[in-house]
Parts: sequence; C-alpha cells; structure tokens
Amino acid sequence: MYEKPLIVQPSGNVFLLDRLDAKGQVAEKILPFSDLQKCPEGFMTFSISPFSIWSAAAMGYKSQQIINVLKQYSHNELPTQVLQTICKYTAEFGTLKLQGFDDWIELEAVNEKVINKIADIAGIKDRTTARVDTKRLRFKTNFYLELKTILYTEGYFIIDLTNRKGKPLRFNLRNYTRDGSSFSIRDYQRQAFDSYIKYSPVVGGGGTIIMPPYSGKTLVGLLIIQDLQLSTLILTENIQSSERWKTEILDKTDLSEESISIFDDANPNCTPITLCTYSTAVSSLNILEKEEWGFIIYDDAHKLPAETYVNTIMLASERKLAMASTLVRADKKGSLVFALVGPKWYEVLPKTLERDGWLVPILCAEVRIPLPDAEKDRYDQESKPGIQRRIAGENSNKKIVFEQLWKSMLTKKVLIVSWYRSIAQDLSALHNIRLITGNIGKNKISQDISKYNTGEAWTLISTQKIERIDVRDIDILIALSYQQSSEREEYLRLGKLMASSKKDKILYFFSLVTETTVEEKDYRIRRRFLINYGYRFKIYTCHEVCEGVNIFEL
Amino acid sequence: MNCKEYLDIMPEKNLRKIAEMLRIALPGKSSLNYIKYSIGKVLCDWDSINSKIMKWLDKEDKECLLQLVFTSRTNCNTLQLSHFGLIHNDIMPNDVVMLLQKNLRNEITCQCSLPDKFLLSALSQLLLLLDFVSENDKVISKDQLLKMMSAKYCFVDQTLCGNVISYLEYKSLISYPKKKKLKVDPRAREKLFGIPENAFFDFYVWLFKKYRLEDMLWFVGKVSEIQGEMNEWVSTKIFSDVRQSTSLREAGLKMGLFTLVEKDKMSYLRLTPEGRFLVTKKYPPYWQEKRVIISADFEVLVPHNYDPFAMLELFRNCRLKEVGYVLVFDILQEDNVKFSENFLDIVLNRSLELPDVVRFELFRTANALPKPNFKKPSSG
Repeated sequence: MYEKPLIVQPSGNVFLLDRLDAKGQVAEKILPFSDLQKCPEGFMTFSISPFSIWSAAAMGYKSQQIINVLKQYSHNELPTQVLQTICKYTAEFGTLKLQGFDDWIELEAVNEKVINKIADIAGIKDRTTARVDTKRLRFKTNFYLELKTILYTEGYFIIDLTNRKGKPLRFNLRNYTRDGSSFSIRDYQRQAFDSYIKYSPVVGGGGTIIMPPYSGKTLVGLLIIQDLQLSTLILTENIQSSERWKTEILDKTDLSEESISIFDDANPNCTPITLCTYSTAVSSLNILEKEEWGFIIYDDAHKLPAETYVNTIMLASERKLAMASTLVRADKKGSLVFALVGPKWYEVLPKTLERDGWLVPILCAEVRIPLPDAEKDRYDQESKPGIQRRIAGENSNKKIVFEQLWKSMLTKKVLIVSWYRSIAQDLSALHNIRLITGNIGKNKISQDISKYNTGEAWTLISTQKIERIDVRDIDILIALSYQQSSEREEYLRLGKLMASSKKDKILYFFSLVTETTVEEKDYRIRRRFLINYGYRFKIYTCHEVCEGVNIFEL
Repeated sequence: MNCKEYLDIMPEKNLRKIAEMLRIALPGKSSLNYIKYSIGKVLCDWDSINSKIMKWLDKEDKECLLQLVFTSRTNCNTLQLSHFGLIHNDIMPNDVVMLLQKNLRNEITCQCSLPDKFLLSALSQLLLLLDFVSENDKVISKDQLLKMMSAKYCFVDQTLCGNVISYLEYKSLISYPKKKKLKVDPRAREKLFGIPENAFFDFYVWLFKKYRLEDMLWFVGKVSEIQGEMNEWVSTKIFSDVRQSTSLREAGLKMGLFTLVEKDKMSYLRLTPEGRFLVTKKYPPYWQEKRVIISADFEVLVPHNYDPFAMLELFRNCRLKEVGYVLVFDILQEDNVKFSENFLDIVLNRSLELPDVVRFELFRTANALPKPNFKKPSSG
C-alpha cells in the first residue's frame, strides 16, 4: 500500500491520494508552493512550477522548507528535476525588476548574465530600444504586455514596479447590511485579505486569490478596497456579475450609489468604484486608461488570458488583484494570470470549506435513460446534431424517471431546470408545478419565485437561464435537458444549490441524461467539469431508479 | 561435503596446525579422531568461530571470507582462512558455509527504509517504445527514433533504448522500407507479448547476451538468495571479486533489476520486483498489492515498478500521458472502445478504490449492467 499521501513526478505534477489525506491537511501544506489542477474523487493533482516556487519565495519560503514538506509526505524519492526547480527559483526571487517611467519601461537584473540571456530572446531582442547599462534594458511602454508574457513563458519572473497611479477613495464597511442583518468576515476570508495585503507589495502590488464559488470572494475584494482606500475598477465576466458586485458594495459599505457605476457603452462614466465587463473594457481601453486607478480587480480572472481580453492588463493602477474559482483553461493559459497580475497569495479548497462547515456538501447523480423505440428510430435517422440534441433532450422516458424521483421528494424544495421547453411544459402540466419561461411576464415570474423562496411553493420548473432566476435554499435540483456541453451552465446550475443557506444538510443534484446519444457525450463533458472541482457523482440506470433504488444514499 | 567429511580428508599435519591456531588444548597423546572432533566442534559452533577465528581475522581476510561464503567467487588470498581450517584446497564444508551465512548476514546486509526511487526497467522501456511507435507510425532512422524517444521521455537511456530497438529487429518486428530508415511493425506489441511471461524472459535473456553479461542471472540470483524482505539491502562488497562485477552492477541498475543505496560509505543493492521475478519466476508480493489508483476523471496511476503484465493491459486499454514514479493513463471514453477482461480485472481487483462513474462506464461497455425494464407511470 501507499504509506504516504504524495507522489511527486519529474514533471512537477504532484498527486495527492484522497484516502491518505481525508481532512485535507496535506493539501493545505502544499498549496502555498503549488497550484491545484483538479480534485476529482480518487486523487488530487497539483503542479509545482517555476512560478509557483518563485511565488512561494515571495511569501518568504526557503527552498529547504519546501523540500522538507515534500519529503515528509512523499511516497517516492523527490525527483532531481523538482529539487532543481525548487532551489533555482527560490534563489531567483527578486533578481529581476521592471520599472515604469513616463514613456518607457526598464528591466533590471541583479546578474549581468541574466540580462544578456534575456536580451537575446527572440521577440525581445528587436524590441529593445536601449541597453541602458550592463544590467538594464529599456523598452517602449506599449511593449509591457508582450514583455511580461515573453519573460513568463521563458521562465523569467519579475517584480513589477510599473504600477504607480491611484486616486484616494474614502469609505467604510458597515457592521450591518442595509436591511439590518449582521454579517461577519469568515476566517478564510480574513486570511485571503491578510495574505494579499502582506505579500502583494513584495512583488510590486499584484496578486491572485483563488477561492471556490460561493465562498465570498466579493467580500474579500471589499475588504481589500477598504484597506487600500484607492479608486477601483472591477472587471467582470458579464453584466449580471457587475450587478451582483454593485448590490454587494451598496449592501455592505457606506458608499453612495453615485460612487458606484456600471461602465458600458450607454454610460461610459467612471466613478470611484467602476464596474465593467471584460468585453466593454477592451473596446473602451482609451477611456479607461485616462483614469488614475488605484486598484483593479480582475474578477473571474480565468477569462483574462483570452486573446480578446488580455489587453485589459495594459490598464495601469497602483495595485492589481486577480480573483477566480479556478484558473484551469482548455488552452492551458490559466497560469498566465500569475504573470500578468501577480502570484497566488491565497487559495482555499472546496474540501476545506466543506470540512469547516462553510460550504454545503452536494451529492450529484446522473440517471441514464434510453429513448423509446420510436424516438430512437427518429434519432438514428436524423443527421443534424441540433435536432438529435432536441430529441434526446425531450426523451419521453425522462418523464417516467422523473415520476419515480418525484415520489421520493415530496417534502423537499425542488427546482427543475430544462433547456428545452416542451418537456418542462409537459411536467408542469402533469404535476401542476409552476413554470417559468421566457414567455411569462416579469411580474408573474417574480411572484412565483417569491412564493418559492418564502416556502409557499415547494417546486418550480424553469427554462430560463439559471442566472436569471433568484431562487434560494433549494434541497434538490433536477436537470431535464441541457445547452449542449456548456460547463458554465452546469456550474451555474450547481451554484444555485451551493448558494443555499442550509449548511446543516446534504443537497442533491440530479441530471436526467439520454443514454447513447449526443446528450450523453455532452453531459460527460459537463460532469467532468464538476468532478474536477471535487464533486462526487454516481450514475444510475433508469432501471435502477424505476426499481426504487434509494438515490439519496449516494 | 560436510565438516566431518572435510576433516576426514585433511592431512594430519594440517589438522594439528589448525588445532594450534584454534587454541585447542590437546592432551599428549590425542588421537587423530579426537583432534578432528575438537576442530569440528569449533567449526560447527558460531560462538566458537566468533571467539576463536573471527576476532583474529584482519579486514581483508574477513571480506575474503564473506565473498567465499556468499558468492563462492573470490580471487583473494585464503591462506589465513585455511590456517583456521575454514578452507582447504578451495573447499569449504557446506554445513560451515551455511552456519556462516546465517550468522554473517548482518555483516553484508542493512535494513533501510527509503522512499521509492524512480528507475524505469528495460522491459518498461520496451513497452514505452512500443506505445510510442504505435502512436507515431513513421518511417524514420534509428537515430531519429532514439532522439524522439529521449525528447519525449528524458530519462530513457539511449544505449539501452538502442538495444531495445535491436531486440525488435531480432524478433523481425522491424522492416526497412527505405535505406537506413526503419518502420516498427504497428502490431509489434501484440505479436511480442502473445504469451507475456515468455516475452519477459526472452527479452531479458537476449539483453544479457547483447551486453555480454552471461553471469547476470547468476548475479541477480545471488542477490535474491541473500536479500530477505523488501527493505533489506545487500552489500556490494561481496561481489567485488566477481568477474565483470562493476559491469553487472551498472547494467542491472540501468535495466531496473535492482536499485542502489549508499550508506555509511558502503554501497548496497536491492532487487526490484522485476529483478526478483526474473530469477524466482514467482509473482513478487508487491505486484499483488492493490497499487493502481483511479480517479473519477478516468485517470489511472500505476507505479513504474508495478506488475509489467498489468502495465501491458493498461497500455492496451488506455492512453499513456505521463511517465514518472507513476505512469499516468487516461481510460479511453470513446463509444466503440471494448475493454479486455484482463483490464477490467485489474481495475476491479488491483485498484485501491473505483469511483462509481468509472465503474459504471467501464462495465456498461462490458455489457455487465442490467438492461432497463420499464413500468409505465400511472397517469396524472
């Protein structure tokens, strides 16, 4: 058997065996110098990279400390390559600095040999405007983004001292929300705040915080803004996210509504706190860069490395913060966030928050359902994936399985979601459940949601985009059909459960999936996304469900 | 021959000298039989050997004795040992050898629990090469193939890998469609490993011949005889007079048949499970342990020194994506994949845990899940 929980690979990948770290204590010990890649049931994958080591050095870690932790928990002998990386990059911290001047930027190395090597790198060589002396290279300011990216890719990590602007902003966090409820800062939120405030000045003012969805990243952002007291730009993934930030700021600070604005094409005004989507920021860079930002928050920062958004890094400010639930991207560019904004100063795992009672345990199950023969024939004869998806999505056998599930859920608050409308309508009619669709008026929707939230209604079916319906305290979410393989939709659906305030119980997420169809393939991608976040899945056949298996014993 | 037989053929002159060396008090007219009896009593009793012989041997004589006892191959000067009656005309009595082996084991072994080292065996390198060529079906020169292999797997030993290619040539699994450009039979793995265990022994025996290391099996066998449990290590000093001892040691290390550790300025060897299987032909306990780890992301981790026959099944049913202390495989999730029974057996019986999603998908493919049987719902 394995006596110790870690397996360290020459590539820098570190596998942590679940069964030998049930409480997540070893995971917490290695997080400061490694990046979590995924945490499916079985084993977690972390990666030790030159930058993760450099970042640890910025937090004061010595090479021997890192090696000791790994040796203490590693089942195998530490590979030479990993030891070399640890020694090399802890020693290199602080040896390269980037300074900003009016019209140019200068890269300065402690070691002349290093600057010679950098000067020879393709892509840098022909963009160097001057060799200031044996240890300094000068570039035009507009080369900033490219220079940082090239240096990061080539394994040269810099202390970025180019951020120099910032207008003051005065405000305080309130002790009570506007509706009078009290709120408190959780331990891990305080730790995230402390880490950023303590370490970001060491590298010039930037840094990254990684926290699971629904763990209160916004509040951490607000704590930091309050501490810095600088005008702030918050970049978000979409308008809904900007609105959520605005609501939270108004709810928890003494700032007036006039001090906060959502910047868009119709309202291109900047206020002490400005919220803006990445896409709007890119198209309005010329306006935004005229402002003297003291602090920029890159929310949902995994979006930042996208080619369309990366230019937002050109916006100057005294401090920068990237916040994300994960930096994993399909194009593997996630870690570029560290190069562009700053090292990871804090990360907390969903498992840790679950253990400490801050996140609700959610058990997920997928029920595989065959198509009835006639529908299967229709599916097989169809060549267009769009129509195949609809046939699979509207699989009439799903209603049979739903009925079985329904029987065991009579005392639970259930939300049923569907991408396709007809199956939702059928079930709504069959079981007399309130239905929310795009065709229903806003007032009716608000009433139905309100009845659900107050407990007057226990069940709701929706074909609306999940982020548009503000339902709370769900016990069970059942998904009937899907927008293809959208990981985002899956994540948002699960998020509705995560937002539950019922911290003392287990919540359930059921997905009805038509087997051996494109829907099964699509769902595999969606399921994988959640699995890699650490959610446990079980798959049932419809036979098992129809035979009355207890699906609550996952 | 045993000690009695050994002493029986020894000349009286030698016996009297030995008795003197062993400080055996002989009455004036002691019979020859009494002398033999007295010497035999010393030679067959460890406490007597220890007090009457071992104490008086210098370092070289002790090492010579260890080599004689544990390898029976030495070029050292045995004069002093013969004075004490331990050897005569290059012969040592069997029962005395066994007694010495039992009591001197501590001198040549050490207990040492170290973290496992990553050292890829020759057979694993063969499996890697076969996997590589099955994914890169090209006509290329041997040098190019070696370069590509070492670019992908930096720890691959170029010489050994070159010989692995030669082995495939020897097995007629390589053709030369162009001058100096080779192509490995894309079905080489299946052809070679039809009967996996035969392929295992055939490969190593061929490799030893190729390296002109005819004594390798003897060498590995000797380590196997001495090494007890998994955490026991055998001193290399007992092999110092063995012909080609350095080459045998170096090659064995490269081939992943044993690992080496330095302790108190001494070198010690330990057989890998593969090395042990090579000489004993018995499945080492390590290979029978549950060491395969499977995640819900359909990734499989298997230690590099685990059962190569299980590894072969993983190569056949999964896609290799990383090599290190553990080999990392992705279980294929395509629609038309049929998993072999052996693979499913490994997944079920050699893995520490099997996440439900993986169990479902694998055994659904194997058609082991029950068929649906609907009851129509009641209306309304």
